[in-house]
Amino acid sequence: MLLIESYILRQHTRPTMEESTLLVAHIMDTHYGGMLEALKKALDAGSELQRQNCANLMKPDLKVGQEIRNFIISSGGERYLNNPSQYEVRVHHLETGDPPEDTCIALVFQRQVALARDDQEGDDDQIQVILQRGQRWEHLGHWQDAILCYQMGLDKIPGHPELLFRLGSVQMRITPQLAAACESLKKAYEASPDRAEYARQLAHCFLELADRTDIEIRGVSRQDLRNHALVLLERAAALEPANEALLRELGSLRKRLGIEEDDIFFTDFEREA
Amino acid sequence: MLDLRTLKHLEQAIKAAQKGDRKTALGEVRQFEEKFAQEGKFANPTEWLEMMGVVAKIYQMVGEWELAALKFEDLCDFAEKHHPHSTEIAGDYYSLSKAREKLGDFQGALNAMEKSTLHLKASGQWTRYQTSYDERISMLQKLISK
Repeated sequence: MLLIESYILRQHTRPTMEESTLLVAHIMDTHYGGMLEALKKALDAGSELQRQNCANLMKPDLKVGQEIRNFIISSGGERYLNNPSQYEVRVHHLETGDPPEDTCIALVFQRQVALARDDQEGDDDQIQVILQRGQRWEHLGHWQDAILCYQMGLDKIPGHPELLFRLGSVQMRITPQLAAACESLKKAYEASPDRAEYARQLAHCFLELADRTDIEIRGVSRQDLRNHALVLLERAAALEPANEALLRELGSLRKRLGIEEDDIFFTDFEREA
Repeated sequence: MLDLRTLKHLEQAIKAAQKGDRKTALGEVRQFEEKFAQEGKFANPTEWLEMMGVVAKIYQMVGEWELAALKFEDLCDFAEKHHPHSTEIAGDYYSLSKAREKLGDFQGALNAMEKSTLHLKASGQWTRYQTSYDERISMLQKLISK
């Protein structure tokens, strides 16, 4: 589940923000095992979790446990209490501070997000929706919109190979983004090295980049890029040995690079060795 | 932070759309998006949402309903992660519903209204809009059943 807000009410002294962060982390770790890492990540990302509300009770005759609900409402969190289908508010009692005081900590979790994150099918559905929308943009010839669509998809589901593949494929259509296309396709291929089309498209991208003399390339020669492309096409052909178009493409590149049939057997033999 | 020259394209697009100059507006939006696609990685989610929101509105202003619907879909999807349960996302779903209605996709329009309703309820603003929402949902249901 995703923690989105916390309310900490202490009997006499108000906890500092640092103290409240540690208290929340402690409760998460103690009661929701394995979630401390998620909490740390959330804090690093500067997420909604920064929304911490801390206070102390001014009147000694009141009890923190009884007042926590009023504290949530007065801090603007009434919607959390009124929407149990979307939010779950869990209350914890403990003694904190020096000297220890009665403390009540209410953690607000968002149910919908939790379901979407926990359920792999939910992610798959989201990816399908994004891919379809990206393809609709492509169909309309709106390459930039398609790129933005896939980039937003990757923001939601980072590193997803199909989104990276589609992104790279569209970026290839736009000269200033050719280098970015290589990066996207490389990530897609690294994430799924068993997908022949990923290897093939990355090879196309390397060849395109190698042939574009108007683009400056640093750190690698154009010939190296062509050699990388050859290796990728060979891998793609190994994955799809019945794909005739792919084999023709491979043969054509070998010819272009001046590789004789004998050399092919030799390199294959060398690779196996 | 976005380059001011990039934002200038958006400004020109808005001006052209306000004048009803569809061609210039769409051209400027394209140029904006071309640059934003490269600079966008430096923008934070709020900037992304704002930029996409403006682009969607420009498509809407010049009557490009298919583009507007797609862009509002992008926007809502992104906002679901970064700004859920706000009146802004409820408004974006409402605009998406309008765009889909213009395209004759009444079921899609209804789905967007339902999402908008959910976000309005979560933001605590439901009672303010309930009457107009109920009317619109009822109208869309009638269109679907025809």
